[in-house]
Amino acid sequence: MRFRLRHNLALVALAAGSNASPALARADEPAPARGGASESLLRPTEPVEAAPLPQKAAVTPPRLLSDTGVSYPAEALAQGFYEATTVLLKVDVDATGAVTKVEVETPRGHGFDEAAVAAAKELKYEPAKRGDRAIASRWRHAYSFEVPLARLDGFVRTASSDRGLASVTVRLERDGEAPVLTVTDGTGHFAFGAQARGPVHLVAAVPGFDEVVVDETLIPAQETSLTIRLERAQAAAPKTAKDDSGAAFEEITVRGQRPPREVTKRTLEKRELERIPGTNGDALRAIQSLPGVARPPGLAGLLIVRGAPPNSTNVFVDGTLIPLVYHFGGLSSVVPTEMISRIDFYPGNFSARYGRVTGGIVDVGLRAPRVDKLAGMTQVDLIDARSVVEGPIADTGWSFALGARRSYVDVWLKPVLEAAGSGVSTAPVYYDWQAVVERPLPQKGRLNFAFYGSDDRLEILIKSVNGSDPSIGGGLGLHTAFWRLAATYKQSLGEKTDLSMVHAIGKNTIEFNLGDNAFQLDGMPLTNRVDLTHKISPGTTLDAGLDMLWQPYDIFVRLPPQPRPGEPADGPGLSRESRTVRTSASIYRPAAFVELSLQPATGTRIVPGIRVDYSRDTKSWDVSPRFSARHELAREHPKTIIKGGAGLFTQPPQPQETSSVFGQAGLTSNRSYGYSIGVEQDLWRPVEISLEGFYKKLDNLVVARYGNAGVGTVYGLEMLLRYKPDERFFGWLAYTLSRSAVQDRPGEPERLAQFDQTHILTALGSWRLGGGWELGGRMRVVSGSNTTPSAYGFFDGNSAVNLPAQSYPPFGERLPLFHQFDIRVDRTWTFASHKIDVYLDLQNAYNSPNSEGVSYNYNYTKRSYAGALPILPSIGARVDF
Amino acid sequence: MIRTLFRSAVAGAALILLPSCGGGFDPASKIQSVRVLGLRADKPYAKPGDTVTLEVLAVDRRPEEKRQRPMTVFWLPLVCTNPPNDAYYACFTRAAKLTSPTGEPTPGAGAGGADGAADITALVAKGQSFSYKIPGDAVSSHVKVPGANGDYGISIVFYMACAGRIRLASRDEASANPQQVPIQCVDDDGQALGADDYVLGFWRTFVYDDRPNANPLIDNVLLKTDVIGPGAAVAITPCADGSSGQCKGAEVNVVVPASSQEDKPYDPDAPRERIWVAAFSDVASVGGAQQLLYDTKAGAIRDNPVRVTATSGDLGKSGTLWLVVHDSRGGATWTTVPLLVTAAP
Repeated sequence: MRFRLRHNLALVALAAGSNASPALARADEPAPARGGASESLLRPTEPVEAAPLPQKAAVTPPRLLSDTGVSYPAEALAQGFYEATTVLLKVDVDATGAVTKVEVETPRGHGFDEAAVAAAKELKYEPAKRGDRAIASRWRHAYSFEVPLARLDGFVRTASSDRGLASVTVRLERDGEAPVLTVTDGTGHFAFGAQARGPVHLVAAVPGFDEVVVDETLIPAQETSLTIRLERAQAAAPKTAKDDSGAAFEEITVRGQRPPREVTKRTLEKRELERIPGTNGDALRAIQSLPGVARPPGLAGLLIVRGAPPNSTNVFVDGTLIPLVYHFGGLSSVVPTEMISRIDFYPGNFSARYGRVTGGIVDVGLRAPRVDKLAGMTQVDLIDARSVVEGPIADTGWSFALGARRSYVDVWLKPVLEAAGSGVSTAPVYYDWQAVVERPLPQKGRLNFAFYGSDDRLEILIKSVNGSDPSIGGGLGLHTAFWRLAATYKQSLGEKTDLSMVHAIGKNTIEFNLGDNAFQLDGMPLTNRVDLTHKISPGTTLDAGLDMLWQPYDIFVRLPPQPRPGEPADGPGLSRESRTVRTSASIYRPAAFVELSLQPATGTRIVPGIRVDYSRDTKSWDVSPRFSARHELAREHPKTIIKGGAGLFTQPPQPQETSSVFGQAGLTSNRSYGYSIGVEQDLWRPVEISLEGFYKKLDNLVVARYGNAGVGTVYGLEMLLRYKPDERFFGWLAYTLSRSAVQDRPGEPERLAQFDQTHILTALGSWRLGGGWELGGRMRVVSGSNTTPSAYGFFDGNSAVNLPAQSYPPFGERLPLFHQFDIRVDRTWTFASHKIDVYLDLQNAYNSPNSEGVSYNYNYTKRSYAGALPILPSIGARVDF
Repeated sequence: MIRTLFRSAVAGAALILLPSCGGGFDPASKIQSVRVLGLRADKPYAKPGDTVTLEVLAVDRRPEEKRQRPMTVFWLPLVCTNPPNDAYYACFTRAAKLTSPTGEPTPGAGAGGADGAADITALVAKGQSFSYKIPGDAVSSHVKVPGANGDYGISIVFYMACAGRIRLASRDEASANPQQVPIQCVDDDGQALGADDYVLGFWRTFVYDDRPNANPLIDNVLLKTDVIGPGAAVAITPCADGSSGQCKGAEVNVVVPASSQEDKPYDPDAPRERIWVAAFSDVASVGGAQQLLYDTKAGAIRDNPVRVTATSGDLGKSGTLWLVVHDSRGGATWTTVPLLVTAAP
């Protein structure tokens, strides 16, 4: 590490008792300061001490011969103390010119005093003289320490490769100062040399690429090295929008990333989100290919993270909680890929900013609309059609984005259902929509309003009666919908403080009826999240905030009582007395969090935090301390990072668990003590590997009728070998080994959790073949899901159906190994003003006979595996303009 | 709850709408073993102290060579009232409250409380019907259930249609499995018989202080639109080989009067009963074996017949079509129609 320093040397002496005027002398040879240039000054000062000298002799002050100088003390740097500081010393110089004693007159702490004393002891003088005679003297000597400068350099590369871009203008801007310009060399390297500390904006621009702005804070005495990746300008001239094979670039900006606060934060890039085979280009379905995420049952559309049940993972859109991730059947997610800028996925040990769940967190960022021109896209396939348009709103400074989607499922499913004898009022259909307006604000601020929602519905009359449960028949209706109106305000409050606020109101609707049973819910959630980040010092950041949830709701439920896990249902719905609840109530769950991000040394981050939650329905408080740490063992490529974390995570009971009709009283939150440790290692350019072990101890789990009696353990290992997107390829190999087990109450046997999957292996890759062709494949090999075996049991006379004798404990049988290969082929044509992409997404390409469950005959004496989805092609076309 | 309900609803609907996967089993409507097709109580809902008479529709259609041991319907002489959580299997535990069919307290534990392996064939009632008395405190002794549509009680009786003898089964007291079967059907050598040889069942009588409930009625059975007279056989022409997809077979409609769909004034969210018919046959195949006749909200369901088909392999065979009509409150009634598979005229 190199840095520049200056030191001021004041050396003024008056012979004790002398009546001569104070002499101002300049050192003959300014001593070079350690580590950089220096200058020395002599200043007049008061006489320190009178020596017994003849009254009339002329006194010549000592002359400084050498000064090794001082460095800004490391202690001060480590403490984040960045202030110009002067230390005054009393220096005794003997008749030979040697320093015999040094005293600190004005102690400054932070290591300044020690540094000044050590430097002063090395001073060499030509001694003071009275006449011609050398004499001892005492002088006041000052060392001034100036805040060392930072250095800033880096590379500019294409977004998806390490290829450096030459002749890129890089502009360094500071608020209120004239910008400083430099240009990248042939390797893409740029350097600004020494710079004062503080926040800067780096703007990289070159024709043919979108301009990129990177915000960075320069830290004294540190060298900041950035890699800025530029994205090809959309719909640019063909010559610049194609690579040498003619394939269009599809790159996005990957900015220099700070180490995450969380132990594991997985971020997928745009190209990965759009082109993972088997997902139909759906970004949120891509999460299911990451380590730690189990394969959901077919058509279930669930997120199962580290063995936790789906309701233990929360999904946010720009910080606002949404109730539903996927549309009907999991065919697509409720937010289209084109509206998403990022997906941050935290499989565990997440920040204190998040709470109320013990599983994982998915935070989806809506993309800021384009500000340069009107643009958009339209995509149609066999499942749905969607469209997005975006651009600036005249010269108002605002920009907008509008998106919408509608499914086609009703077109083909309605005739199928009618042919099966059902009356169809509303065939399954889903919609979603998004509207975003945004404008930038001064001081890195932005104001954003987003209105988005989703709607799934069907309504049919089933004229036949289910042979195993006569309550399943007659009217079947489903309507799930939600919308959110969210306002996001982000603003810097000075150099050191950032404010982020997200306020949202919305509505959740669910209406479900089947035969005589039904539930209807209308909720109006109001969520507020305020996050204040303050840089106490360059290495220390305080993050504090509020996370509020208030939701009044009206609910009507008419259902038979539900058994707990391991307890067989007491017959089909008709054989049991339904219970009804119709009420209006509200959920009120405020929370506050504080997190401290400490960087005691370069490449090291320690983040202790704490979160306090309150649940009004259980009238209980949850205090959740958390801690995570990362340390770079090797900072330069290939980087090596070790990381770990520990924390308490709580999840309040679901309202139905505390319901006076369906639940029980006196419950408190489920708890999970989560621990993880791992390593990240760069192997070679674009390839990296990460390994992470995790362990979760669950307790206080809510079990029907048993209270908070459940305990459990989840542990495992996750591996991700990832080839980051470049101009030709992206892909990864993800493997998760895990075990998730629970015990419903003391004395009962431990059992596997419903969603436990021992082995989850996903290998995927996508190649650009040239000529606009791209070919991808995804192979998944996953342990079968758990099921509860059934056997010949009882005949329920009331409903006239056979009831199975279920094995105990539940979920004791694993279905056969799941394996499936998906293929995606894209052909892209790029024109001056638009781009056309036609694709085939083929799920289960070799028609693997996977099992999603077990089918039994009417009396459970014969069984066979129920098949999963067969080969399922989806052909689509997309136009970007 | 919102997220849970959202996800449950979507996942549940997906599963309901999934085409039937796997299987390839004989349908429940095909009768070729010891089967119980329905139970009928003279009082589908009873009052405390009532005597209830049950009638069981049990048939034995095992192959002739396996019928050396005739089927008998045995009734355990115990009435289990208000078991924990209303669960029938809780009657097998020592927590169950048991009385005799005449209402006398029964000493000892639950149905499975006695020592295992004891042959009780001679100790239990036999026959197609069984009467028992509802305890007088059946409603008052039931725990109050929040959200329930009024106070109620439950009395449960167990029976077994068995082509052999019955004995108590050993119970593993150390096991937490709540569904341990209390009795077994065995042959004369004490060997447990298979599922084709017995049916173990139970009946819950819901008990209310004052809640009327009647069994549904069957006015007529129609062969398409023609009334099938009492005892009259229906001749079925086999479908041509390879035409199973197009062959609709005989269209049988069960006529249940609208008056059978009783109102439930105490239940405004489901104010009327649902009624459906379940069809079984020992000679023909039954398509749409369980068809809805009356829906809670939609009312009468029109044009929803049971379709009976036969194959050329069934030519010359005769058998039975059983039609069992149920309502959603435990009411039931049934009728039978003789079938004869004949060549096309």
